[in-house]
Amino acid sequence: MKKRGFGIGCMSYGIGNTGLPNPAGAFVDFLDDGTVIVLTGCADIGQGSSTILAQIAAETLGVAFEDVVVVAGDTGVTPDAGATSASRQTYISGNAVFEAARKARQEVIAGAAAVLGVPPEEINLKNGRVWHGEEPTSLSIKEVISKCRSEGILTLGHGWFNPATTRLDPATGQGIPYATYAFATQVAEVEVDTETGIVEVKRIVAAHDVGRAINPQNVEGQIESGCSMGIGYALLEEVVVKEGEIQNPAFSTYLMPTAMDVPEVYPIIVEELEPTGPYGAKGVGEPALVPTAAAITNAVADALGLRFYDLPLTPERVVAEIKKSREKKEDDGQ
Amino acid sequence: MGARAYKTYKKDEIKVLKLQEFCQPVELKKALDLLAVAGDQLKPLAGGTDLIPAARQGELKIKGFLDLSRLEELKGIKEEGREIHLGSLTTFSQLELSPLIKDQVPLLAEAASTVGSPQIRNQGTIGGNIANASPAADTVTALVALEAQARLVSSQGIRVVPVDELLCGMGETGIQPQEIIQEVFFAIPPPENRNGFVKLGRRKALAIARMNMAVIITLEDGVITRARVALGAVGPNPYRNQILEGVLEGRKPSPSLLEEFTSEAEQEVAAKLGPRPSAPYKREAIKGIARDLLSRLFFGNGQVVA
Repeated sequence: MKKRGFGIGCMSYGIGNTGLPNPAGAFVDFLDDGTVIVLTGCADIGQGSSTILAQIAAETLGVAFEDVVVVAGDTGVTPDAGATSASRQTYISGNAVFEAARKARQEVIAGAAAVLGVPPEEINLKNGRVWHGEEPTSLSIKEVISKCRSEGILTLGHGWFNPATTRLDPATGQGIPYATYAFATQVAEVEVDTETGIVEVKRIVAAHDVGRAINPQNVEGQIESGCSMGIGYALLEEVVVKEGEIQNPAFSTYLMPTAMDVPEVYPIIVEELEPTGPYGAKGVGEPALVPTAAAITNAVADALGLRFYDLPLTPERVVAEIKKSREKKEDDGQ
Repeated sequence: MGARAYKTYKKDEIKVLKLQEFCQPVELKKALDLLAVAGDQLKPLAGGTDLIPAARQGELKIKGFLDLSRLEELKGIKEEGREIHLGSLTTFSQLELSPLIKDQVPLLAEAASTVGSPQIRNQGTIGGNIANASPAADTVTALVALEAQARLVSSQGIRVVPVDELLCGMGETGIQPQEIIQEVFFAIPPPENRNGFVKLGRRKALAIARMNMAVIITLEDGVITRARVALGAVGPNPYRNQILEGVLEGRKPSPSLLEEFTSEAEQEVAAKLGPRPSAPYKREAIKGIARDLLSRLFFGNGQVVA
């Protein structure tokens, strides 16, 4: 018999390394053809950090995204940005790039103020042009940089950021482990076959507070793939250890969900802006995975009326638990 | 991050494919002559999805492979009278997509579609699925329900053997070293039939069947006059279960017949598996897959979800 259930999982998750300094640095060079080079140690392992760091630089410098080149994760030329881990790169490297770009921007603004004969604080850079207050001027950013170069002024900046944390008190465990937190709620709908014990995830709705979504499509991709990992965590992935040796160290024996096993995921982006984040951004890397198994297990509990305390919910575990509860009911009835 | 210990391999531990011979004949006669001489030192190779990994692991005690891939005599899906003939090199993808197979024997298309992944289905063949004799071979369960026969050829001649008689245990067949499966054929079930296949795997793709089941029922005036039920991954090879066929024959499809069938299936699986560790789970799970398949064949829909 198949039974349907719904479950909710909620989480809060610290962005960055726990109670430790974990700074990131960046260099931004604004070239005289109006293009920008960003040097960052942030390794883009597929999550899209190079894209959003380019967006942050472009937004700050008032140029098109296409005019930004990101040189990332090359220890020969880039400053350290720490690991791509702890859901930290958007927040920490994002802030480093923002700071480096802000400094390069100040150089350009100073140059533009001299040309236009207006105070620097009234100048803005947008769409490749210099703006005076709310009005674009006839001056392009490119022209300002050329002028700076002709006067021997380089328009570059460096920046670094370290989240404000404290070490945790070894006696109490108390402190400020993270500078900011991401929050999320996910809802899973499942169908459980009470005979085969198979849990089929039919739908996941995943609402994530990521601060500013610098690149919403990218954030959705992170949420969807985090959910698919969460399905593996809930239903499939199990390290079998026997006398200290892992028995299933291969993709053929340590199973993860295939595309066929992942249902439609409906991401909802919640933008609760973080004052210390670049344009209000926080992070979404790990949070996307964190509540999924809880939501699925709660949905299974809703479907069967049974609580599970071991993951993954293998068909054997589900069938055994159903049998146990049936036998208990029969015993109680007698 | 802690220190990690990585296994280091000695040179002779590295798994590479080592072969002394590789033959790729373009005529069947030539292939059979080569096999007649080489005997069990030359292994016929079709899609290679089982043999190549086994060879890399050093599990095959052979000199080399006889690659069948260029033998046109082993290819094609044909309808001949009331029979369907499948060349042994027919791939799972071809079965899955063939309009003839989908229309006449959907159980076989369904079985083929559950094998591995698209890459494996493009490569793996029906002949290989039989010759490999895995307990969990998906298309073999469907072929057994269809009472398919295999046509074996060698330089000595031809013989025709029912597929289920060819299977002699896990990884064992009655195919002689000098023989090749040329084709598999079976009678198209009568027009008033319904058939289907169901697989229980750990996930929806790239999963070996933990159990599978193929059922063909023929209805006359609403009564099941003939039933064929095959089970896979319950014994050493897929097999027909005549007790379960007997439960269906002479009866009308109904919810109570479905219940009777599932509880009989549970007993059959329990008896077949005995004290194996998988028995407690599989005897329960067989009811679920039987319910899935028979709901579809009896009432034309999936299970009702509560």
